[in-house]
Amino acid sequence: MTKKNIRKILIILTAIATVSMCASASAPAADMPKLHGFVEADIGLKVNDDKLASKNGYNMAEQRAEFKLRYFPDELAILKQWNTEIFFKTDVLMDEYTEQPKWWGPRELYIAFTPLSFADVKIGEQILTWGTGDYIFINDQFPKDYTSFIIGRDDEYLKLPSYAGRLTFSSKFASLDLVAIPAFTPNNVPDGKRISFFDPLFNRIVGTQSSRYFVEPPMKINNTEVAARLYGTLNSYEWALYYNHGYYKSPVGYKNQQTGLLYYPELDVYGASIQGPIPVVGGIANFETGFLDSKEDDFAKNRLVQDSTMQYLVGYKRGFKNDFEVGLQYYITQMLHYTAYKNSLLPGDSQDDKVYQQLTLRLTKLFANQTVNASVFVFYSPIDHDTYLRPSLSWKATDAWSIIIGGNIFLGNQDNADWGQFKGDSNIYSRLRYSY
Amino acid sequence: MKKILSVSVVVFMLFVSGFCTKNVYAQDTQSGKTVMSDMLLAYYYPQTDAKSEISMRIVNRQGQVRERRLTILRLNEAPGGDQSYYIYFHEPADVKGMSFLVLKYLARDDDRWMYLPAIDLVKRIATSDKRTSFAGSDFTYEDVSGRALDEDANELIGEEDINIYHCFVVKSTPKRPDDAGFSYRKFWIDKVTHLPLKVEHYDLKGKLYKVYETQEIKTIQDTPTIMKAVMKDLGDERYTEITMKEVSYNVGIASDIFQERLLRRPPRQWIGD
Repeated sequence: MTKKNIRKILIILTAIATVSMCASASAPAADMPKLHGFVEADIGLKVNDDKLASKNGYNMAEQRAEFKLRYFPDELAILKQWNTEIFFKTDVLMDEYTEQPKWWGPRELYIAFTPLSFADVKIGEQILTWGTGDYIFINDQFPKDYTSFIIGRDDEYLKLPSYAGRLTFSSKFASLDLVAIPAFTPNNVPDGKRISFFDPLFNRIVGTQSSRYFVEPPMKINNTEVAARLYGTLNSYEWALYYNHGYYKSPVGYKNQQTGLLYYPELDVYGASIQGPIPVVGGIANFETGFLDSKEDDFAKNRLVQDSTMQYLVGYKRGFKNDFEVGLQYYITQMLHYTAYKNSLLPGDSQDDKVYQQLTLRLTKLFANQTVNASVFVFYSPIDHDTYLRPSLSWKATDAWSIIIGGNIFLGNQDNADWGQFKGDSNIYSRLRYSY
Repeated sequence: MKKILSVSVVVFMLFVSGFCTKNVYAQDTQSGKTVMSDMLLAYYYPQTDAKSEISMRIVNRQGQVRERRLTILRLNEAPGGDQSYYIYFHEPADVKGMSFLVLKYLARDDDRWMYLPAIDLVKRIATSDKRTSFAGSDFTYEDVSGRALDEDANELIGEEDINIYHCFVVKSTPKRPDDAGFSYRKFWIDKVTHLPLKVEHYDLKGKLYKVYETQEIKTIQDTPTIMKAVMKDLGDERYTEITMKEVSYNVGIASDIFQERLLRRPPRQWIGD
């Protein structure tokens, strides 16, 4: 069974649900699910175009329509008793960058129910999020769309849906999330078509020239990814323990370096986090850590696969008067078998630093009775002065209409740095949205 | 003669007592505190739990209208003590499904979380400033959830009638005005229901800048309940109207529901669709 098949099955199930819903004509019109969503027009212009990607001058020009339907199948007593909900959300995208209309299929399509007073179940295509970071993810190993993030789409599109089953046990003292993901979904990483990037195979920034191929783990029972979170709140402090068993979501292993064949190596993550108020000073602090156990790396003796790392994140955010908020984060990634890693490198391989550090700053200020939001998010890596600025200014003109202008500005001179590699993709964008 | 004397004594006594009462009012912090405490209980703590469906109309100077529809679940840990709140937004469309969880403590800052369904994100809120606007309205977070009794000195300064209601008038002065952001508030509190019928807010310079008025009271499950109220911002010439579409008390909200699960799985029996 492939992901396409899963998608087909989900669509068929929705169709059945819709038909049965319409068939149950006894339901008065007021109980029919209401359609919600938005239509949006987006444009993103490059400000420092390196002319390497497939289009010059812009990297976003699209119109999007989102449709959302929530349906409670109350006709069946047991489903009603379980507070069953079917949720469907889809995006129709007219993407002028790829010059083809793109039917995104369901973005979310799931059934959720509560079969026991202490247990919730959610099955289907769904967005999964946990962890304490702001744009920094250690224990949240669920798929992300970094291309959408960089070209200036709404934050919502940073998260990609997973085909998953989620089981949550809740109690007053602790809760447990168990997630099974039978179909692998990778991150959408820059591949040169829309976003130019540093390709180690060329040892420089490339665009459409890049010819990398990504191989996904096949869908087999044994390849099912598992994620778990045990969490609770004690005297205002939230604690959590995490476990992930699966694969890197970005292609960080080479199957064949000569032919540019990359894959998603096996990964286990063990982590923990705590979040809560700082006494006297006020504000909320968080700490999160994770051990990313790269299973195929053979203690860094395998130069073709990402080394295991320890990752740490410390954050602090505080609100001030008049809707002003500041958030700071310090993030460290430490390679665990650095000597072995260095010894494994061949001449010509680029060498990563043992410790990678990143600082982030978020400033948010609301004006005009919270209808105007001015915000900036900065990523800064001190070692190579690598900087990524995300300023934005949004205005809710009415309850339905909103407009945002913003930018994704990459500064830094190192071509192979995390953010510096995207300097030819820097952009300013605007999105106009009508919600209903 | 005796009679005249006694009458004049009575008149005198009345005069004195009236005078005394006035005098007492001018500095009567004890009764001020009692009246205020009764108001807080009647306004913010009626019954053990409550479910309210609220619609808000925010009207600006140009007459432009923004509307919010939300459901609030409230549970008291103890009368006048800590409280748990859950707030679910039905409208406008762009925030539908967004929800908030607020654990309100008298002794320390509240714990607040927000849930964004589009990205399945439960976010801890760092804002401790209670003067921020509630959902873009003219009500502040503090107006909605109340100030602790001890934060203000409350003086009973008189009695006045508003329409048919006999009211105590209380001047409530923050002990730390700079933190509070205003110099004082004047409350007209109905003697019978203990509900506030009018509240005037005076800024740090002593100028009246915001006026609250109750427009409709209804008794629901033996509990006098404000069904309609308005908050006017005099400086910005804006106002916000709050209308209770539905209120019910003691619906059986248990304290253990106020956790992350509530945000991810809205309790449909109370929230509806």
